[in-house]
Amino acid sequence: MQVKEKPLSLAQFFFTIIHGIIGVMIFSLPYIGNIYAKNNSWISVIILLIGFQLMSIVIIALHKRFPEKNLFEIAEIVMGKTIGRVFNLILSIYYLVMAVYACLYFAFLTMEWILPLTPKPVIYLMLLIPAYYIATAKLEAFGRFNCIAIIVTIGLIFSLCFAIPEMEFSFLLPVGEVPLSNIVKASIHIGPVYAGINCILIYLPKVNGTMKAKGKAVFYSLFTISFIYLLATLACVAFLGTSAMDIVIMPVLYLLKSVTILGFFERLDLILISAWLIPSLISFVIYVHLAFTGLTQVIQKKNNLILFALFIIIYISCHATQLSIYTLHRGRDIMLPFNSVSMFAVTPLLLILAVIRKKKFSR
Amino acid sequence: MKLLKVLCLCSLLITTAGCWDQNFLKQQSLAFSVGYDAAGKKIKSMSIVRSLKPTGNGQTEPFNNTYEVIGTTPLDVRAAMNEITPGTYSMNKLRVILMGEELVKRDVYPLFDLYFREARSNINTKVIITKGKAVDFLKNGYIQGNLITDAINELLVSGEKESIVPKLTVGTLLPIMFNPGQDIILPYLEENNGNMKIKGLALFNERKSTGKQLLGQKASLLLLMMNKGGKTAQFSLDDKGAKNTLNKKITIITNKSKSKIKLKWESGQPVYTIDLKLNVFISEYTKGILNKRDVDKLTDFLSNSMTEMAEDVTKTLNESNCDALGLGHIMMIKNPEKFKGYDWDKDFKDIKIVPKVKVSIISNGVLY
Repeated sequence: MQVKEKPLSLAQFFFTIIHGIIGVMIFSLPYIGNIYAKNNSWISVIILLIGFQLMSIVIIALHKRFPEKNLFEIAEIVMGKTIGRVFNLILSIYYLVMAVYACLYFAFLTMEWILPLTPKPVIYLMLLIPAYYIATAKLEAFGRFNCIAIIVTIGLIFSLCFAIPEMEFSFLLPVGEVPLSNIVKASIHIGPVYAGINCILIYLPKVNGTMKAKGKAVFYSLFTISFIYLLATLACVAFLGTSAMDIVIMPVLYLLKSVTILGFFERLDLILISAWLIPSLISFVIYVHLAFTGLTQVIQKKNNLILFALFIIIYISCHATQLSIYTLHRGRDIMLPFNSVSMFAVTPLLLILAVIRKKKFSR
Repeated sequence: MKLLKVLCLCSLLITTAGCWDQNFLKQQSLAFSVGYDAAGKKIKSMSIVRSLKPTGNGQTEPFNNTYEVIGTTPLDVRAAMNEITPGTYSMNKLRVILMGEELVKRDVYPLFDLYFREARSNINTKVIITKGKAVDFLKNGYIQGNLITDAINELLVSGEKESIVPKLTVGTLLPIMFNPGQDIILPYLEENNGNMKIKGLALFNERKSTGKQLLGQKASLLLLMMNKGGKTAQFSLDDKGAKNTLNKKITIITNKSKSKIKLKWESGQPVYTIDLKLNVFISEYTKGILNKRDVDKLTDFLSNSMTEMAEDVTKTLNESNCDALGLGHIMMIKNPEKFKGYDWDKDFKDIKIVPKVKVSIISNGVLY
């Protein structure tokens, strides 16, 4: 994406963060929470809500010190050039791996639910080709696209509401039966659904608005995302109960499968998972953009060929990985410590270093 | 750059993924109902496959074909169906699953696993238990000249509105099946001189049929006690003091109902009290004018009669060990430690349930 171009408006920024973070893993979020926290998995989501609202304060505090610098530029300033570049390289590789994971997850979901016979290369291209088109577009166009794409997310929430008559809210009780350690464990394992949070520090310098307005946009966008996750978790636990969720890997889709709107709209899972290509696309593009920005900061060269090369690497990596639910779960477990560090340690570390080393960038 | 973007867009044509996964409707044999019966250790199955036949002037009319096979599992049955039906046998539009009462005396989960597991299956399919064999229900393909699937579906929909059967599909069955503190109940139908009749509810324990049913009004009352009733429910109660046969029945139709189940502990034993409040219309009362005093007397009579009926219902549930009310689930919420001390599937028969029904008459109809 071009740097010197029309900045994002606050609304575009708001929707970009939402789509940057909500990706394809929302469909299995309640299942992951249920493994550890059972019927109290909704409390794990509330813990994450509070945690990320606090993280938004840290993000804004860091942005206040470096209003025109993105995450990778800040890292070089506070850590020094050499350590900063090594840090940026590691972070870029991490986001590249996350992009590969997002592509694999999307392919798995598509193959399992709607296109079982379509060859995997075609499904990967279904995501990668439009993603490349969006990734090379202007920032303004990307922002506008995110504003329109929110219709899909609203459609998901709207559809979940139609399952309310079938829900048994007593499945959410009792509160406190599950030990707090399990609830916190569930929070840690659900946490990777917020993996794209550092995209905020990439786009903040490109947003047109006062510091207060930007802070509000960050705060409320993270709150909206957490609220959507909470809604999905509550709906699935209330609909399926904790015992059935032990075997239903994608409870959100299962719930949508049983929803009928006005007596004739059925199989909403097929409609929504097809439409969910759009949010998956956006979150994938943001991971790629994070990797691209980091790499260009390291090598001090900006060239769209690097972006193209990243897409080729992602495509080859997807082919090199065996696509199955077991691979995805194993990948999630391996990535968990890296996800936790990138989400909870990177921004606070940079802020602490900035404060200690008295680094600040004023206009 | 522009050319590259145009090429990118055009290359999307390669990914017209529908080519591999396309499923033309005309190449499929769509099963609208499936019946399963026990055939020794195997399953006998009959499918109603809908086709269209031309009736002239470009018009078509749907008609049913019936196919019967034997297999070991539902997936085996589907493969056997595929060998005899023209086109690919498909259950994506399945409306009703019928199960013979003999078959459901075994664990029913293996019969549903296919429907739960496959992403393409329709989990809005209704499930019924048939008196006798399910195959006998389906073999004609029509009921009184109507397509059998539509007839069964509409019968069930009206039954749900009248609180005769619960609003249950394969999808809503899964959480109840896996809930350790609740048992499933399914609509119980019989075939009677070419007509279908909803008899009541088949009671299950540990995912197997107990062989016992709740018939007629008792089934409706159970649904109201579960807060799973439809828009209305009708009860005809006997006035034993009536001299004339026509005067014997008092019929009420419920408008609103609310059931509250409470758990108390007495001497270390759980006691469940079910308070059911019914707001009713008097729809049939042949004994004359209902003045205020008569209405009060009638209210007491109705409350007592309905309470007696509720006691019969809970006694049947205890005897068949069927926890349709989800009483185990209530104990799991309120006293989870105490619930762990019970083998609920076996101990439910000894659990004390005290139902109490309070009737409020809100209307006498248009007569006084």
